[in-house]
Amino acid sequence: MTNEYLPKKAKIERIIEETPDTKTFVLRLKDESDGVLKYKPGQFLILSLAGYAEAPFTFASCQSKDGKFEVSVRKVGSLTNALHQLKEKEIVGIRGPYGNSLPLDKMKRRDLLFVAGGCGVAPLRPLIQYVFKNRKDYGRVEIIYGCRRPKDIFYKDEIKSWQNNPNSDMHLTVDEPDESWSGACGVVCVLLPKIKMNPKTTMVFLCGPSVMIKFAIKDVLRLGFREQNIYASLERYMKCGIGKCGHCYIKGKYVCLDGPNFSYAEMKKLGIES
Amino acid sequence: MKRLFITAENLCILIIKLKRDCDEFIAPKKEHLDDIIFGDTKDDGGELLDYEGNSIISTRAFFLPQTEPFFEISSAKNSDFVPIEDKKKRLFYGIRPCDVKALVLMKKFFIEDGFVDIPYKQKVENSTFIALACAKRCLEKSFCHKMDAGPLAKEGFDLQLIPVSRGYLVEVGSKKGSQIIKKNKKLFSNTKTQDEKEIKQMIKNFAEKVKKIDYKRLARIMKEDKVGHKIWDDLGLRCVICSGCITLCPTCSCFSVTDRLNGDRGVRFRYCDGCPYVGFTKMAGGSIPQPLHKDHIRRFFEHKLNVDVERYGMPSCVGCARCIQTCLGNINIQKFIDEVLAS
Amino acid sequence: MIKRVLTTCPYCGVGCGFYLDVRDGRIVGVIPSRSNSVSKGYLCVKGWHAHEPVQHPDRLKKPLIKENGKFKETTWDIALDYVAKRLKEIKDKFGPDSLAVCTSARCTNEENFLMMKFARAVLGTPNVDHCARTCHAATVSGLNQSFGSGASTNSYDELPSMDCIMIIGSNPTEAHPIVGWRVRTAIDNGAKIIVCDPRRILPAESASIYIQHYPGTDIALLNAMINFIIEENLQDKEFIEKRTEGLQQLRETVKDYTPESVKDITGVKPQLIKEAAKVYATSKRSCIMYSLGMTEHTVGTDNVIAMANLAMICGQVGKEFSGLYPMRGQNNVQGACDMGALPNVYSGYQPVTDEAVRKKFETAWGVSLPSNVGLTLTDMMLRAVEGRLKCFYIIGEDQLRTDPDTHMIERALDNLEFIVVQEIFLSETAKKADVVLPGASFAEKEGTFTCAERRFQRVRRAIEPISGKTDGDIIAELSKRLGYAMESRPKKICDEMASLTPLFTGVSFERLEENGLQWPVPDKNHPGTPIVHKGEFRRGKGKFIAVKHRPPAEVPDSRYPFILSTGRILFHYNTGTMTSRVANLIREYPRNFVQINPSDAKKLGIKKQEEIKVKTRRGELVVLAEITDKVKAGVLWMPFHFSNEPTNVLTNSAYDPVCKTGEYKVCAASIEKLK
Repeated sequence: MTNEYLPKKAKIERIIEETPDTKTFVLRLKDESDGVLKYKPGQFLILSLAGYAEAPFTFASCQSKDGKFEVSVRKVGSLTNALHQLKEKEIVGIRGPYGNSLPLDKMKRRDLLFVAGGCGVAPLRPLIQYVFKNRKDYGRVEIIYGCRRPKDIFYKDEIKSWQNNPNSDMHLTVDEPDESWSGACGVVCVLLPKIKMNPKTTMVFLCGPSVMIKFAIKDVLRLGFREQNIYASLERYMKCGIGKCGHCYIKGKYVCLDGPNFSYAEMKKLGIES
Repeated sequence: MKRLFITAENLCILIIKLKRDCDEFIAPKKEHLDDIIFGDTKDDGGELLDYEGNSIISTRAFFLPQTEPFFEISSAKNSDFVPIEDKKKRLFYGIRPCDVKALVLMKKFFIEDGFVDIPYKQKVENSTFIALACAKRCLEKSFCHKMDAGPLAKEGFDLQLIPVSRGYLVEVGSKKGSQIIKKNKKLFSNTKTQDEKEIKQMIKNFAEKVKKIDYKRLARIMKEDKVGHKIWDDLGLRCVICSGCITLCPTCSCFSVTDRLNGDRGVRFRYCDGCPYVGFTKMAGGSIPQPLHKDHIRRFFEHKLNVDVERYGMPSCVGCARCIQTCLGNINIQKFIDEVLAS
Repeated sequence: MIKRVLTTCPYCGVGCGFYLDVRDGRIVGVIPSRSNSVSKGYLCVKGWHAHEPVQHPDRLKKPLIKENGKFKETTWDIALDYVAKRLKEIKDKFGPDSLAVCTSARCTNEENFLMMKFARAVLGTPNVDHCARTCHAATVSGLNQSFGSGASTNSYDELPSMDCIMIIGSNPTEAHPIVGWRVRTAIDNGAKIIVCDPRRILPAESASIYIQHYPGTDIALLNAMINFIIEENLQDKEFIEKRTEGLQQLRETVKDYTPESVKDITGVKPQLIKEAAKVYATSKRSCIMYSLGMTEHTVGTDNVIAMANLAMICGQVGKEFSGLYPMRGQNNVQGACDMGALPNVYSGYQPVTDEAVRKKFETAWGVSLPSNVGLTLTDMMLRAVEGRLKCFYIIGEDQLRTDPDTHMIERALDNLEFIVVQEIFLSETAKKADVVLPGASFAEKEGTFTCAERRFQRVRRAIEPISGKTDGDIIAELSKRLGYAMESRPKKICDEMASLTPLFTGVSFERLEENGLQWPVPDKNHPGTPIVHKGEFRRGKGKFIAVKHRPPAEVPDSRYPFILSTGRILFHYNTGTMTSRVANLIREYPRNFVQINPSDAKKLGIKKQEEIKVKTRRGELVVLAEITDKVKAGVLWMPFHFSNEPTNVLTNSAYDPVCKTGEYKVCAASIEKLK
């Protein structure tokens, strides 16, 4: 029986500087005996750095055959700061995958709306990549992605490919444009009313700062989208990932086990929508 | 299964034999003046065969200690973590029914529910439990009977001793327990009707003037948020975050993990953590989901008296009164229960 | 192997008892002791984690010598030989008065006795002092004058039965939690609590009367209360007649302090002052609890005297369920004072200037001893700046973070020829040293601490000293190298101390086994003294000494319009060398902050958790703003627990002329938004 607390080793294959304070780490399990990490969009892993304990990060890329997986890390505390000091080929510890995944089966043949704010694009990216990989299984796809400034945009090259993708619509906006910016301005919620999708059947996936999610859910409900079709990831400090340490416990549920992805209807039922 | 009988002298002999087969013999031990604390009496023979009251710490201090080295970090650079295993064979003697019930609940949570907590499982697998029923209520403040956790344990023990005037009755609770009886057959004998009469009287005395609480109703009131807000406000004002309750409570299970490095080597620990701390739910960016202090205390009570009734069918408060005896704000969970049920 | 070692907490002055849970040589946790009469099974959050800093990897394990500005690890022999050599050199070249010893209020009584003996007998210097200078020196100097003895008059266990507890300049919930628990119990038992504090501390929420006066106006407040009591004839005439002297002079002075007349100075409505005075005077069992909010002022001694006046006027001292409770800050600051680690007294407050006392010690120790009063810590720093002090031996004290006006302290330390710091962690002060000697924590030694209710309690060893030596061992070995052999076994030192100190003659390790002893313990059969001044004050009659309000050394003006006050929070202890290494504690408060009233914040456009600059005449500091109505408009408050954001760069080193304690509680400050 595996000791879930024992981290597996992962090697940093590549580091990409997304923004001044965010880096994407491309990782792969180091030891052959550990095999390939199998996970689903929406799940998270626990990254373990000796000397700095652990922190949860959602997978930022969808499952690939070569076993590489990506994690986007923003510098906010001691562990993330230490991570940013690491170089390629160095080793970190990984535990997981944990958490529930987004409802891929339920999404089949449905129209999908992705709303991402700031670093919230990272947890949605595996889902978007998965949908694009299996494009014919899904209906219309629209993506709204908003950041504070142009330099805060993640995955700049990939975003371009999403914008140029003929099978989906992408709306990119910033709050504070600079001279070079020629796109839309304003917060993400400003773009929501412009979306022309069937609110009764479209599934909405939200991710971003909790303030943005709060307002976005309000707007989206007002536009007629259904509670059971709106998904967000609940922000809680998950530590062990396996429902034992109690950090993410809320009203009888463990976000690391029953979530972190919940539909708004589920959140209301559990009384955790605030 | 029917009960057996053992005299006090034979119990001493049994203990001597049991000590040979274990690495640590954890029993109630008298420390300074009146303090009774579970300690290892294998080598010093200081165990109290029978005692009044309960140990200051519960059995949790052995399965989920205040600080527990989890992994040896043999190289921080290479992320080399080596599990630190605790495979000591421990025999626990003299555990009160409240603590036995707590062990059952903790076992459900750590081993039988969802993912298995290997460090916890390892310790439990190597432990044997001899419970000691309570001849009388250990303190005025304890309310195990109200929480259906005393004076006799119902499950979770290998053997249970029930003190009677001429010795102890013995109940077997598991295969391990019956093995012990088998190996030491000569020390045990049959019970007499007088013994059973005594036990009936003991339970009657215990329950005298004490009504069992309707914990399902309590859970419902809490779930429907019908507890008076003044009660939560008062709790919020009293609690000064000393952390005594979460450290001593036999069913508190929350923890955090930290690393202590010395150069490239070190240790990864898990340590007791929990509800009262503001920082317990603080997130990476610094925001705190539940900033009000009274909500932290509320979470503690809700978890024990409401949520766990839904999860396990019984509250995870066992009425041991340890928290009451250490709270700097004079918070009393029993008073809380009475107040809520009365309103 | 599992071992439970009963010992006393190393943090605050309450003196809680608990067991260290030692398993296979590692201290796993803490178990409260229900049989301990001070803590009775209760502990605060720091106490519950008292074991964590002990075996932390940051613990200093080897002596360090500074070479070319960098520390190098070395052996004990090399370090001790070097220190002894340098001490002798400086003593020979500049004279013994150029040396100073700062003992540790965190070390045991026995070690403090050795340290003051080392200073006087071996170094020949009268300059020995410790951090009581920065906290309760005013209590000693004030109550000495009023009562003849400067320590707590009554015991903790009387608190739950009080009818009225006046808490002034003290925050028991956070600074003395187990006493705070007794206050909580008193409230639950129906006691009336009067809280006088510029900040709305937790007891104020349950207080019968809450007085939010301006910092530095306590004498005006207390005199007004006495004025009202005398006016309304509420004083205890019998007590005054039989047990006090000097009333006339007091009456003359408080005549001018009507509650109406102090309204503007204190900022308190006269009606509130009258109510408080009435409750205190008419309750059968009244006591006054105070702490650094009263002593850390340029008028600290007078503040204490004012409280003594109030207590005596109402006959609320010298009997059970009454008295003054000076809440001592550190685990053994009472003990360090008791052991004579002060420049003017030997152990038991026997004056150095007394011929007979000096001869007694000279005979016992076999050396001639200095006959003059030595320098206080305050003066040591001033002398160091002037260049007249050459050498400082600092044990377990972080002056660079605890003394007021940090920049001045830095200049003082930089100016010294030789600094030795004996510490358990590399504190900021230790970084300035020429030699760092690694000491032992409370869990690694045998000895005694004396808590705020004058109780000697045992400290017991749970693990061997991590550096190989206890602080007492280090002093003894240095002393040997300087030609004077010293007993280093704690039990024997205790016996030696008892034999030379009338106040503690009956103290010995055996007699302390059960529940310690409260001094005075004048002989080997004496059971200890829970209540002092019963029947008769130590000086005979209690003395009324009239004191007048004097404004703080620095008051707000147009450039620095705020009053800045400083203090403690529950989760951290002093400079955070220990508590910043406890995961649960540092997580609760990782950073320094300044409390600012919402109306002031609004005027300056300051938002929640915004970083702002606090400036005083001595320095400036960028900290997070905590906007709260717990402080009055015009008042700022900061804790001093964060070594990398040191609050004391701002505080004023102006001091009380009698006891030389700095005015941490009041100085003038300004706030600036960052660009």
